[in-house]
Amino acid sequence: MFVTARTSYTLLKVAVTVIAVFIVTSIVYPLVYIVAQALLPREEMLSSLGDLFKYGVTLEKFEYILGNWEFYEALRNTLIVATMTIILAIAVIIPAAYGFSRFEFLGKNTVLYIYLIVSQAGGGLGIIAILALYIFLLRLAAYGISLFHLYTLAFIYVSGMVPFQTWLMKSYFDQLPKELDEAAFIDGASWFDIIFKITLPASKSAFIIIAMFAFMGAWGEFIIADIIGLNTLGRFIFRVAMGPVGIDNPSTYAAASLLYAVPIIVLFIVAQKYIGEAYKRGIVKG
Amino acid sequence: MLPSLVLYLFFNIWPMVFSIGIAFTNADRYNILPNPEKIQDLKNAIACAQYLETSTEHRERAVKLLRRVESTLESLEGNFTAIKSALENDGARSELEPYVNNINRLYPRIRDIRVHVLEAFNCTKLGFSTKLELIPGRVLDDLTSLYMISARVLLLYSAGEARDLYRDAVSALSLITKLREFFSKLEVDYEGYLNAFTESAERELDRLELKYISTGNFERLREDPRFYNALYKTLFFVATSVPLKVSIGVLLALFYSSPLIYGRKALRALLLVPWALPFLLSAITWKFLSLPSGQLGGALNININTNEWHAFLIYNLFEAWLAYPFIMTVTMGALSGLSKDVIEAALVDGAGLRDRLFKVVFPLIAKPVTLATILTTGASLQAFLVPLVINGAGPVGRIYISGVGEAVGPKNEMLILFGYNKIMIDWEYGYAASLYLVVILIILLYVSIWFIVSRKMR
Repeated sequence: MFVTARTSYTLLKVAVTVIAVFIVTSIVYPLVYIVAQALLPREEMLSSLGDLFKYGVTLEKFEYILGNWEFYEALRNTLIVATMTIILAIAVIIPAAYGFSRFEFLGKNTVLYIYLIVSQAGGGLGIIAILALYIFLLRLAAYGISLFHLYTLAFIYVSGMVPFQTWLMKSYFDQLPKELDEAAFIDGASWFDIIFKITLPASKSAFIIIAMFAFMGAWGEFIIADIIGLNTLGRFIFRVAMGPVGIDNPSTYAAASLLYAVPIIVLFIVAQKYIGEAYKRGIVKG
Repeated sequence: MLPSLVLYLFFNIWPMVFSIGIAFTNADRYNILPNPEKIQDLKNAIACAQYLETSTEHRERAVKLLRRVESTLESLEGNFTAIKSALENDGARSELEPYVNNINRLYPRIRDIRVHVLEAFNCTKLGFSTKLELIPGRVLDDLTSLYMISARVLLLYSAGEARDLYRDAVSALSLITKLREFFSKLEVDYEGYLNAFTESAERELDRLELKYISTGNFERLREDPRFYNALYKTLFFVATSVPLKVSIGVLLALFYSSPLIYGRKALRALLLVPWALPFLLSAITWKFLSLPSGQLGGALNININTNEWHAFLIYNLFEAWLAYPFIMTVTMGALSGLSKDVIEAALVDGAGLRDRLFKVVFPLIAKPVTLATILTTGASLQAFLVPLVINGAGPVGRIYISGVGEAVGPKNEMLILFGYNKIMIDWEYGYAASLYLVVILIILLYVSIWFIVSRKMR
């Protein structure tokens, strides 16, 4: 009797597990599909995974796209923007967050409140701000000041990151014991020493977090680059791979999209630890 | 700290303020780039036309000139007609001679006419510096052509090229008809001509000048079927996608916390895949899958390029796929607070699955799930990228809103996408800015609801 109950429990577990695996498979299927599409030697939409057995598997689409000059140029632009974004984000956001964490000043809470609302209200405000900025840049261009440049893109990205990442970093600095700076200050250390010999070494992971977020932001972004009209890798995927050319050559552009996605996926996995910590500190992002 | 604030103010806040101003203007592709030179030209030309209209001295001179033009053109017409009919009737060569000589005598006058007309109506010479001409360029071109044709009449006649001569006579006559029509109109209705010129210049000026138009854009918005359609599609998308993604997220979280599943930790990690992929990879995957030739499109037998509701269904599925990991993670977090003891206690008390769910689990996850639902509602309310990447909010077609009217546009256009299209495709900046002002108010309304609810829950 007891044995039967156990056996039936095991059977139930197996059955439920089968269902669970089936659900996971169907949810993950899009990823399986796009990889399979990129491996297909023919330029047509994959009708089922069976096509791979019928026509074989090849890496030549990846080779082809790596040799494509358009892809290269977009990649180069993206690398420039991403590097600029990282440098700028570190230079601008970390000191600001440090200030928000350590000093009291007029309007501090108001600014933090606005940042919180903006970073959680959804992407709509950001898009509206970018389109408004675009109109403003057109107007500036009319007066001979053209800012339609890769560098501008980095500035726009960092400004978009300010609200959320200031919060993120502020809560990070809140964790660092304030007594450390104070003790050094009492010992007669200059501000320069405090920042470069105490605070910065203690906040190494802050730099890593900001740099990773900045890189992922700059790499993954495409709509702002498209509005401003700068050819980054994201824009290439958005305009070319998802456009008529891509639909006519689905295997090549599936491969291109996968190549584009790899750095982000890798970073996401690495960053998860930090992201999880950030969430735990009370910042939730939807 | 200051640099970050400055950066944020310049790239995020300032454009918003700027666009509030733009919302009350007629900004579009013609006037966003100011062209002071062209505007000055137009202004001077208008002043010049008004001067010509009022100055009696100038008017008398013009009328005198126009009479002379008339008489020259008239005699040219007579001579060309005679040549033409003589050639048609195969008349003797000598028959043509007097007319040819007349034309040869008259033709230098055409050049004089051109010079005099240009001078009489030259605004720059009259003190109104402008690149615009009161006399249209085609009239001057016609005069030049007529001059050239008339000048070679004698040559063709001497060479005996009857056919060429005939062809020239025909084209000269058609030129003269056009020119006489123009000059007689100018002579008879001198004021009317100048008024028409002024009006068209003023219209052009109006288009080139960025100016305040009060609430004009908002009134236009009130009568735009595309706006109502966008509002309707946005709210409908919120109503369908939010329950879908929240229920999927919660159900998956509950199901995958079941101890009945082998390897549930690994499976749960796999469920977060949609979260780990960059948006564009997910987008291209879903787009390829949902095309009629793709697997999902084929399996469901749908066509997102022709049927708006088929596309709308895909937006919902895609949005749910993108957002359920967030809901699931939040629910999981809440469930982790549920200790085994509580469940065991409930089991000992003889609570069934239903009781356990409704009395133990739901109260525990209610708060975080509500907050997460509010956040994800914001994402649906501001849906932009999802319809854009799947099929540009298509298909494009007739949009009919009863009581408002009809328009042509992407049928699944949502509010933010509507403004984007107005800016990037139609280049109507002022109009789009006024729309966005309305959208920002909607977002603020949403934020305040979110604020009140989250305050109450704490």
